[in-house]
Amino acid sequence: MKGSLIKLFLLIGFTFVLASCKDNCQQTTTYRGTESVLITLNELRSSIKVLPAQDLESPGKIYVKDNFLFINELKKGIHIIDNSNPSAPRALAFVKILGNIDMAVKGNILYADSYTDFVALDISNPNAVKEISRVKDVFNYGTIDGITWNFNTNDQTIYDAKWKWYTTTQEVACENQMVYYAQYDKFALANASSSSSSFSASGVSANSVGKSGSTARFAIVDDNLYAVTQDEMKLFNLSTPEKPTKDASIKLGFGIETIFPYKDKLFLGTTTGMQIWENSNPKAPTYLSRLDHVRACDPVVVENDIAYVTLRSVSNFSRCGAAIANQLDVIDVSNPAVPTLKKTYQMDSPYGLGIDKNQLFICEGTNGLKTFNATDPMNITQVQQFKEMDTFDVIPLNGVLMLIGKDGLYQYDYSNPNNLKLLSKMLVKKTN
Amino acid sequence: MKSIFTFLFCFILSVAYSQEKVSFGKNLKNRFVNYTEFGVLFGRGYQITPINYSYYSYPVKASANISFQTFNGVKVYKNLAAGITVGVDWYSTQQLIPISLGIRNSFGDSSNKKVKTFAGIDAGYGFTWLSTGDTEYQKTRGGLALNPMVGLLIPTGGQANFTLSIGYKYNAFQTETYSGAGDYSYYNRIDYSLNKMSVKLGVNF
Repeated sequence: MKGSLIKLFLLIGFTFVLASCKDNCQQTTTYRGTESVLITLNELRSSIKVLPAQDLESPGKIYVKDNFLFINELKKGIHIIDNSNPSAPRALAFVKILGNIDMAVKGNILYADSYTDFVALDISNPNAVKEISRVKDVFNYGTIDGITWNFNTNDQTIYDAKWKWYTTTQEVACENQMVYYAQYDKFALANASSSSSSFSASGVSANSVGKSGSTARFAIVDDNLYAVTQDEMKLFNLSTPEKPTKDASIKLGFGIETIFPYKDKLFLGTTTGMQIWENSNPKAPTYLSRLDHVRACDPVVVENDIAYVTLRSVSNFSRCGAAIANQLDVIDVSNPAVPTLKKTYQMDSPYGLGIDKNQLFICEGTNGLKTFNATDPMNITQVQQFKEMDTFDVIPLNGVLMLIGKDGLYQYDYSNPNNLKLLSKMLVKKTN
Repeated sequence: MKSIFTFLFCFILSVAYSQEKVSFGKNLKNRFVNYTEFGVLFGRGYQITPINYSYYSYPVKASANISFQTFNGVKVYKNLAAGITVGVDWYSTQQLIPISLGIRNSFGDSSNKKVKTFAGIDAGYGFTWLSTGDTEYQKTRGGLALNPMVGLLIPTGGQANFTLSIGYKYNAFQTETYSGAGDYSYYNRIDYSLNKMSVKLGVNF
């Protein structure tokens, strides 16, 4: 009996000790957020420098002129590549230009944006690129890669931000699993909106002008350079190529993404539709027509009076709004005053696109590259798909397809439309 | 992991076989030990103020979860039995299947029809096979499972006993969430370490 009592007490004692057991749950969150970057005008205007060739890190738009290929390094500068042999491209130099996103080349002059400024660089010797002139304070803000920068006139400072991975560890409740969202940088969140997306501009203009990818916001027609911001088209006069001057600014409305000159028209890609501007007088383009579609990121290319527009839905509010479609629209623009939607094809997640002699190339983001036969625009058929690349823009030119993506630059020979041949690749430096 | 268990189980069986000079098959029935128990896991948890929301905190929260397990083993030495324990634990965030190596020892003369005591321990791995949510964006991983216990064996009158036991139960597992595309993507990993008091009723024979 005594033994049983001891056992009972022991049991009760155990119970009390065990009842104090507490759960412990650690949450480790790794999230992508933003970090503020402040740049003074002084820093900006003394930033241009020629550096030795560097690895690609986060490539942006591409531009091709003669044997040279220009690859933008987001907000950092431009890689100059000797592409006379597409099978073995050779990096020549890196031009550091703070805040650079877009570029265009006419003759030996490279025009580039640099946050607020528009700069002209002499590239006749790619190893000794020189700044020759600068139009100050043309741009007030811009969005690329989901981040908007702003120029604050009061303190003459550019407020930008960059992506950064953060890791935090904290104790959380084990029972109620808290839904945890990344903590956004308030500044960038408030400003993140529509961004650069895609369009295809085959810069058909003066002979000495290069060709841009479909995400271009710069286009050159004769002596005029058109730079579209989110709500404006800014005209620059290049009649003295070394000393560009700013002409008019034309209000366009919200959400302008890209510009594509075709014949004497300008095709603008916006987040809500395609706009066509009459450009028979290149000094003063006038609004002609528009074709609205669902809100989406949308690059455009035009060939043989047919405009190809891709719409990409994004799950993220910060880019192009809550878009729902992933498709290719084929639009008849033979009468530019009345563009008519002819047909719609389903796509996965189309970004930039390019067309050359009825061969249509569409970047599908993480789904790689797709090639199509567009001989009959009403019956576009897929020919090939290259996966395992993260692509966003292409330039098809003279049988060489230059493809840029998050992983780097890929070049294909497309002289045989049914069988693209990989010529070379220039991959980004892996940082992890 | 499974092959390790198989190996250990075979090892224990062979140890058991070698220790007594009797035919294994003939005596298996006498040597077989089963504990099948059903019970409740009591615990509590609360959140220490998280770093990102310094004003935010959870009150203490008590929890009770249901657990079922069955131990099947053989006597290897006197009243000491070794075997394998398989169970299911229903936690609020996850269902776990702990598969453990276990031992049980009852104290006192087994032919005595009085209430006796026993002690045991299970140590193994909690599997998350019942988790259905595994996708590209969500993954669960099991972890260590531990369960030492003490209890009473109450004779039913026949060959069997009712059991009443209390013990400590530890389970670890991990969930991972990943928001894929988009600018603000994130990985979220939660390491769960659950410390519970187990109170179980069951049968033993």
